[in-house]
Amino acid sequence: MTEMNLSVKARRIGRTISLPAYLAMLRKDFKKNKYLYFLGLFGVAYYLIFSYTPMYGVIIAFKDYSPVKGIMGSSWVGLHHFTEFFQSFYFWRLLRNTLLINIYELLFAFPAPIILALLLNELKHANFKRVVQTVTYLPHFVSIVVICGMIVDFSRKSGLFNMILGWFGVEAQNLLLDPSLFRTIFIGSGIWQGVGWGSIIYLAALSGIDTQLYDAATVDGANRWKQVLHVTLPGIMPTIIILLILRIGGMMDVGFEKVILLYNSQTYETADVISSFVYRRGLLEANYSYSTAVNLFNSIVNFMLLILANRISRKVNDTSLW
Amino acid sequence: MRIKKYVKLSLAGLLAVSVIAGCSNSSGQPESSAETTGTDTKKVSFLWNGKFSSKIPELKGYGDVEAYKEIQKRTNVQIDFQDNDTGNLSQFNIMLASGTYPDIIYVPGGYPGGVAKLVEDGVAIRLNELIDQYAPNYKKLLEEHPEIKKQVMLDDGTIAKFPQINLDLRRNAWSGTMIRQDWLDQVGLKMPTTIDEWYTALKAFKDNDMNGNGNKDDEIPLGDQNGMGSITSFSTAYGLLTTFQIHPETGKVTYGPYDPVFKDYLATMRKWYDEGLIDSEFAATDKKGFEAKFSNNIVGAYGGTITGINTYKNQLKSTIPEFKLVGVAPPVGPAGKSYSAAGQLAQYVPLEGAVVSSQAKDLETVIKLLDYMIGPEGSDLQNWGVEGKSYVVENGKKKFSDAVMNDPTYEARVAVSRYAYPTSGMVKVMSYDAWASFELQYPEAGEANERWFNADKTLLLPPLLFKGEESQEISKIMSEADTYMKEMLLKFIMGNEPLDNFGTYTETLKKMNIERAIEIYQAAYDRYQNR
Repeated sequence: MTEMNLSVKARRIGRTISLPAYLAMLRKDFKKNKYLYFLGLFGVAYYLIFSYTPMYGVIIAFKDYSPVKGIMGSSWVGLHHFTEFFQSFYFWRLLRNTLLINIYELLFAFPAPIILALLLNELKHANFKRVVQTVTYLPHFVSIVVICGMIVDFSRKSGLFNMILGWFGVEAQNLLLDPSLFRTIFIGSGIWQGVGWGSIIYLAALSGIDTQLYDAATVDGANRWKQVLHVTLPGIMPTIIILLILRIGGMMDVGFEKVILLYNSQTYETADVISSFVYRRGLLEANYSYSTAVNLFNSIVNFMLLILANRISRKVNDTSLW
Repeated sequence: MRIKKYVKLSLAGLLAVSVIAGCSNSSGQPESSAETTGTDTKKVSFLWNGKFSSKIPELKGYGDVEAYKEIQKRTNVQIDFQDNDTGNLSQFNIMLASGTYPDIIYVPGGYPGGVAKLVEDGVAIRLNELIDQYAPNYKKLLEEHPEIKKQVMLDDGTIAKFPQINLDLRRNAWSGTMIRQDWLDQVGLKMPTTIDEWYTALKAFKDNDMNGNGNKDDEIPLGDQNGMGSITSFSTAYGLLTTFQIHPETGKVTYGPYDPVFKDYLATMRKWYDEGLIDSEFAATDKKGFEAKFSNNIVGAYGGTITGINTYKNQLKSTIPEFKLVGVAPPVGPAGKSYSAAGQLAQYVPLEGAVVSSQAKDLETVIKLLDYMIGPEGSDLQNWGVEGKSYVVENGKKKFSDAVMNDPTYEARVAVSRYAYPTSGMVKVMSYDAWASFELQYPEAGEANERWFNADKTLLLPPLLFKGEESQEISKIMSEADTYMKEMLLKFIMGNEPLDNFGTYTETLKKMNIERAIEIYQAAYDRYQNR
């Protein structure tokens, strides 16, 4: 908190303050809040020990890692693993599938919790609102393995989904065998599972909007819809933007657990993503260097996207992560 | 003011302590040295094959099993059992990365490079001389059975492991295709022996209301448990497997799905699929889904393990009195012989096995323990348990006692785990009789075992060893080629890809360097034969 206040203060007066003066201010602040700094130390130590120190392990992406020889003892192979991945027969398919799932998620799964939060916000009946919230949160707490087990069962030829589709005259088929349906099932079930949980942060943002704004809007003759458009949405826009930037920083990630639980050889064409490929190649066959190389590539792309999104956002509407 | 300050300070301190406490983890370092304790009992640490799990709650670990209690008593060695989830390679690798190894390490079959790599890396040691010195049982066994010695040995003649050994390969005939004999009887057909007879039988299953529930369309003539095993096993009729194999005509190594004849097999399966003889969901069926279908009495035939014959009979005999699932010999097709696809029928010794680590100090004790386990006494203990307790000898033949077969609370298969491990392997010579007591519960299972065993084993490759860079190259090529082959196999069979594109498919396999992979296999096979 203190640090943030300080930096905000510094930024606000940043153009007029000189460096020695800034340092003096910092020293004063440090003296005043030394216990808080002391507490903050542990957070910093945590990241140093558990996030930064293990990072030296990424060097195995450039080595031929063997557990017996250890990280330092293994021999260097340069960019061998990277070129192997880029030249892989499936590279373009993996990249396409990974990006497409993410793009569709951005289009459909990202707005879903915002819409739910807006809808919940309009509910006047407190008990009903609470029931809806609890019901929509629940799937979040069910293990992904269980969820996928349910999806697999429901998608069978004799399963629930086919029963429902049957009422509309759709011929029964195993839905998980159709490559063109994989993304729909993957993203649809993701929305179902995550929409309630995802809406919490927006609800929190909504509660922070000054009620006087609504009163003023009412006086100006705005109906409920206009209030949503001109008061509510702008009110939570910074939250939306921040989450959007973070989401774009994960464009190369698709959790492999859910993919490997749902795919089969028949749907590889649309379902096989970088992470599931790494799982098969890296973990099952114990090619640690190869999987590290692929993930390092992923992280670099994600990092660049994050920076790009942040910069654009700062230019366009002055909201940014840093 | 003052007090507030102290409260603040002590709170911060408390937090610091708790953070530090959270950081330090209790590391369970394996004890590695075989040390002599006061009572002359020696200690040996042993990374075991498989994680211990039992349906009997009072059994907590391998040390609670009578066989291993007895082995420790008789050899005067205290074994420090370390569980190893053999399916989980990362666990094994963490052990290796720690740099501290137990005295004996059971190497999982999937470890890249296998035992040879561990010897090369200096984790495991060469045992040839030590076996001469301390392991009379094992030495005798290897001398009497050159075919076993050949499979235990590395390419350069090094012997580094104490494995599970199958003297009687009949025990390995535990997988194949099964069909509902009662359904065949209903339509007046005999057990299919050729591809054409299979077609007739499956067609009859399709066209008739076999289960008599009034619905003629719910029967699935040929089902699949998982991994497409039922469908792929029919490729043997064309002299091909869906993996590396020996070509029946040339005697050379080849990759079945790369052979031009594979197209004929695909055409047959395509026809079967088109006519509804194959489960339309076969590509997505898991074991659970399949069991549900089979229990609903709608599946006519499938490929799987011999256990199915017993368990499905136990499950269905009350509702379907005439229920009879039988094992069928592999069908004869254009290739002219009944070829087996069961790779284990060429394996006296699996790729895995127990190695002695380079950090083991008391080599004499370690080797003697392993030799005892693989010798007749140790093998009997592990296969049958303790005489008088879990088994009795009648007319020179061993038989499980009532304590196992008629346990009041547990079925025999579970009850036996108190005493021995007759159906799974460790460092021992497997017993066919002990295994058969559980797996060949019904006469049908015995017949299946015999039919599967008698099939022609020409196509099967023995367990091969690859050199370090070879195994890397193989894994690089095959992770792509195998994925591609499976995808295309499905597309061809389900009609998403016309069979005319078979040429493009083999062309792509060629581009993926499949010929290099075949070459590596051939070289490894040549080395095997020259051992």
